[in-house]
Formats: sequence, C-alpha cells, structure tokens
Amino acid sequence: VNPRPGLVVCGWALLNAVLVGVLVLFRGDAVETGLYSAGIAIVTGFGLAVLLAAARHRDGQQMRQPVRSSSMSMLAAAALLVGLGAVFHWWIAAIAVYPLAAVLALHTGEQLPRAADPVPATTSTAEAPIARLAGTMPYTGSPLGNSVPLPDDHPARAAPRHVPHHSARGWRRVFVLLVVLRAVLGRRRK
Amino acid sequence: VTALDQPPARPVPVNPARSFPAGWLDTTDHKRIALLTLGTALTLLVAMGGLALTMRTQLAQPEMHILGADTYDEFFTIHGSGMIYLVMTPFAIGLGLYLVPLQIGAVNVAAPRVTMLGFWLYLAGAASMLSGFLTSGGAGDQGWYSYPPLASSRHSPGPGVDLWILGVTLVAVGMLLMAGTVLWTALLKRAPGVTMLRLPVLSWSVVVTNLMVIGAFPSLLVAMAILAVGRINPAIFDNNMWNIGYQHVFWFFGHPVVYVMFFPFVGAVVEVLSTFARRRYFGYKPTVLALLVFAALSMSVWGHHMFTTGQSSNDYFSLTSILLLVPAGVEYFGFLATVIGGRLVFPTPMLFALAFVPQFLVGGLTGIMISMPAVDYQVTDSYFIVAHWHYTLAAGSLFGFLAGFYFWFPKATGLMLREDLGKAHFWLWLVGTNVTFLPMFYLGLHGMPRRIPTYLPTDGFTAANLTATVGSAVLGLGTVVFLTNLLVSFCARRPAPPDPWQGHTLEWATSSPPPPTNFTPEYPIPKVRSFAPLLDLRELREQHRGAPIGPATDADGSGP
Repeated sequence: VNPRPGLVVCGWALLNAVLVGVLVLFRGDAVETGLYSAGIAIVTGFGLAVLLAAARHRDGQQMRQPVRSSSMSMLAAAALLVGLGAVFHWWIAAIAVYPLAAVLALHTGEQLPRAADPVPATTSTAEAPIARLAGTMPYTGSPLGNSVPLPDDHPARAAPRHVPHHSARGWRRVFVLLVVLRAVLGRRRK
Repeated sequence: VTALDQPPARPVPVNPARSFPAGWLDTTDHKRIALLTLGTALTLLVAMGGLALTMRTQLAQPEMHILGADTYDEFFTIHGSGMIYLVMTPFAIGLGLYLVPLQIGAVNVAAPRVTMLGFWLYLAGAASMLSGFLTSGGAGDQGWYSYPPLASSRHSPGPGVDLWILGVTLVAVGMLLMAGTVLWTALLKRAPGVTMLRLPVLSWSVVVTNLMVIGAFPSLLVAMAILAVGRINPAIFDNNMWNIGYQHVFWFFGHPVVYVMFFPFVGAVVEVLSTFARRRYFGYKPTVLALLVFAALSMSVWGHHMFTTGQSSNDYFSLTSILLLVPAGVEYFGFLATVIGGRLVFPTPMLFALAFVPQFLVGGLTGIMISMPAVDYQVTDSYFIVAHWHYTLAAGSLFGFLAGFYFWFPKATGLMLREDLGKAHFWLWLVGTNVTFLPMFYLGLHGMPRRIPTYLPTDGFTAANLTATVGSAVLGLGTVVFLTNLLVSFCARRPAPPDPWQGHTLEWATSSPPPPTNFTPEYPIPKVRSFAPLLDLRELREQHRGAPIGPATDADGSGP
C-alpha cells in the first residue's frame, strides 16, 4: 500500500482532529480547542492543495526552473524596511518602494525562457536526447570542491567494495551472559 | 498539436555553477540555498555560544558582575531566541532543504525563488534581532518567549523588543516558506519509483517536521501580532485574557518547534546508524508511523508549559505529554535494533549519533517528569528546566545535527573532514556537554531559579555552578577544534569520493558535491525499490556475485 501524499497530510490532520476531540472530552476551553482547530484547518488546507495538485497532474519532476532569484533579495529588503518603519519611523517604510520596483523589474527576467530545454537534468538515462546534450555541458563542480565521478565499484555501477567487518558478536555474548546470569540469580532468590 | 509540431527545445543550463557572490546570492539551487542557511546558522551558533560562555563565566562564582543585570537579561534573551529561531530551526529546515530533493531524486526544490526569499527573510530577521545591541536601550531582554505584560512597551521600553518582534516575525515567515516548499517537493516532486513508502527515514522526518511548521508557525505570527499591538497600546495587557491568550498562542508554536528542532536530527541519526552498522534500518514502517503520531501528539501538548498558570487543561496536556513516550519508544527500539548485531564502524558521525541516543533520552525522560503537574509545580522556572531543555536541544538535537554534519559534509562540499580532529571535537563535546548540563539538574532541584544574573555564597550553588562553567569551557575548546577542522579541511583539501561511507540513500549515487541538477546522465538515479536503494543494489550484487549486473539506471521501479 502506498499512500497518496495528499492523504498523508489529511490523515495527519485527522489524527490531530481526534486529539482535539479528546481535548473536548477533557473539557478544554474555547481558546484551546479553537487554537488547535485553527492549526488543523491550515494543515487540512495544505493537504487539499496537495490533493488538487496531484489530481491536476502537477506532480512529478519539475524540469523548468527559474535561473536567478535576485528579485527575492529585494523583496526581503522591502519587508525589512517596512518593519523598520514600524519600529522607528514610517518614512523608512517609504524607502521600500525602490526595492519593490526592483522586484517588478527583475522578476520576469529570472524565468526560464519558453521552449527552453533545461539541462543537464534527468530522471533516467532513458532520456537519450538529454544524454547526448550532457556531453556538451561538462560539470566542473562548485567552488567548494571538485566533483569526483562515480568509481567503477560503486553499487550504481559494479560490485561493492570490501566492507570492514567489526563484529558486534562480543557485545552480543556479553548481553546473553547478562540475561543468563539474571535468570540464574532470579531462580536462586526464589 | 502534437509534440512533433512544437519547435525544437533550446538547451538552457539550469543552475549553472557560477562562483561567489553572484552564483550564490541569486541562486535557485536548493543546495546552495541550504548551504547559505546552514552556514548562517553555524556562524550564529558560534555567536550564541559566545553569549552563553559569558553568562557561564559570570555564574562561575557567587556575586560576580562581569555583566550588569540588564545586560545579563539581554544575553539570555538573545542566546535563547538566537538558538531557537536563528540556529536550531534553520539547521533543521536547512538540512531538509539540502537533502530531501537529493533523496527523492528531484531536480530541485519546488518554487526555488520562494525558498530563496525564505533565506533572505531569515537573514533580515537575524540582523534585526541582533541589531538591538546597537540601540541605546539594548537588545530585547524579556526572554525567548517574551511574555506580556513584561514585553509591553510599558515594562520594556526602547526599540530592542520591537526589533526582536520584527526579527522573529521575519524569521518565522522565512522558515514557513522554506518548510512549505520542501514539503511540497517531498510530496509531489519525487522521481519515478520513489513512492511515499520508499522515502528514506530522514525525508519522512522532514515531512512530519514541515507539517508541524505549517500547522504551528502561523500561531507564532499571531503571537507576534499580539505583542506588536501591546507595544502600541500596553493597556490591552491590563486584561489578563490577553496575557494568558498570548501564552496559549505562543506555546501552540513553542512546543511543536521543539520537535521541529528534533525530528530531522532523528532522521539524520537513523541514516548514520544504519550506514555504519552496515545494515538496513530496523522497523522502517513502524518508525514512519511513530513519526506521524509523535508529530500529532506534539501539537497537542503545548499546555504543559502553562501548568502553573492554572489556565490550561492540565489532565489532558499531562496525558498527551506522557503518551509521547510510546512513539519515542518505537524510535528508540529502531535505533537499538539496528545497531545490535550490526557490523559497526566508528567514524566521527557514528560517534555523535551514538551519543545522541542516551543523551536525548535524558532530555526526553526529564521532559516526561515535568509533564506531570505535581512535579512541574516544584521545578518550574528553576535550573532543572534549563538542564532538561539543554539535554534536549544541545546534548540531543545538536549532537544529532553534528552527526549529520560530519556525515554529509563530504557530499555537500566534495571535501573530507579530518577524522582525528573530528574525534577530538566529539570527545570534548561529550565531556563538556555532560559536565555543563548535568549539574544544572542538581541546581534546579536545590532551588536555583533560572535567569538570575548572580547568587549569594550562602545559597549553596557555588560548586555545581563552577563545575558547569568548567564544562562550558570544554565545550568552547571543542568548538575551537571543530572550527579548526573546517579551516584545515578547506585549506588542505582532500577530495571526497561520491560515496565515502557506503551510504544507503540516493544522494550517495551522485557526485560530491552533486551537480546543479542533482542527477544527470553522467550521475544517474539508480533504480529505487525501497527506502535504501543503494543497499538494495549492494545486496543484489552479493546475490549475483560473479555475474556482472549492468548499471541500474532505470528509475521507473521496474525490475532489472
């Protein structure tokens, strides 16, 4: 049985609803039950959104991705300025207009152009066209370090390497000895 | 219109590997966003540790005044708030952000720009909260849960508390966005063959964590809104309904967040234990069920923080809190059954994971003790609570995080950490943690209240406080060793292979560090038949020893 993701979320919300029911039995007050129910309502809403997305086949790999996110730093800056305006003086909030304008200017340019084929990306080597393209898109690694190809003995390719064998048999013997000792002592006491 | 009628697709690289700063600061790669989050949280961990060391130095002897009373209040407020909102929660959510798309074979996180907005809001929130130290009135000094009426502008004037509220609000929104996108990814963006019951335990732990975030974090926003209104009009807190109402709303977030800061590290410990025990994790389905039940119960226990107010349904909250033992017991059974009989090896991640098990048990069991109102009435607001809390979050969650950190560091950076320095870090932290926090149980039981800047020689608290301070110094030394390890590993690089530990899950099938789109034809997704796909392949090869098996590259779940 493989549960559907939306049902996992809604099932979890239902489990919480049962706990709210128990709270009612324990005569929880209106604040407690209301608060808990509100939390469950949010989770249920999320679960329904997941169910809806799955029903509309919005699940599966998302190959088309935005290529930059500069507008988001501007949006966060605007949020911070509005907040600082509330703390200190409202004129600070007015400055948020500039980063918000930048958000509008940057936002659309960050999306992947239509009819673009995102590479290198695959869910399976069965996708031959992408496999061909991979040769033209060598990956050099991130600045943190260089990527190392999978070795021949990796399980995705070939037989496993030798596994060092540090047996836990000694511990098991100690455990069995303790159990036997306890049983003997227990019988003696009787 | 058929596919043949459409114009040919133009190849466009997704998340090309650009260098710092542009390649990182406007990235849409979930790995980079996660590393930015984790790196920021790690930096803040060191800063928050510095605050803690200063406070412990003050408490080493009676009547010491390194910090004034007000500054001490600011230090414990920012230490507590920082560790919860700025360090442990981002660690938990950042870990999920990095690993979940890799473990489920996804190209990226869903809505990566929204995820990046979450990071920027987190950074802005952290800056806002800490900037209180630069104001004339100092930083927020009302404690991490900021109870009114103390937090109102009448009793805590100055912008420090305002900046604290702003910071918490921004961070909460940021974490909500990150958690929402990671949850959406785990639920809907899995590769073919990766069904819900083939998700690794870590991914499941992130799923339940993020469910709690979705359900509970909006409550924190409401709590901050109440405080903000109270800052404008403190008269609302003359009515006790708002004070108690705030406590309910706050703790409806405040208790689940403890589990938000715990579950992903349970998942990390599961992966580490099973990898270094060289066997499949024992009790996968019961553990998944236990995680879901654990998370649901954790939403229903918030009132145990309010036993002494007399304004919560004590029987119910005590019952649900004690019931937490059942799913926790299932998880612990899984840990032990995986390790016993395994072919154990003990690299640094395994040491941290093994230490997590008993240390978190101390935190958990003392939590059950104080979930009984009769006990809670005696020890509330004492150092017993501080000890319980630190065994849960420092000795427990932080050790779990470090197990994951040492485990996945080679994957994330392509570099191996130094084992000798890692082990030195582990032993120093093991000793330091217990020497610091164990005496606090004694202090609490002997009546030392939490949050006092000093005490009298006649109180009888000196020896235990001195011991705790010595322990904190050992922790500080361990942190220096940890930072040295990072520095040495970055300066004198030892490249990491793709799978240095013989891991079980999909992230070990790609390069170290993974390519921008995680899996490419060069680094394909192996066939996924269970929650431990690489272990499946190893076992398959053991069964067919001598008979070569071709690369397992089909991810549609069909047989070889």
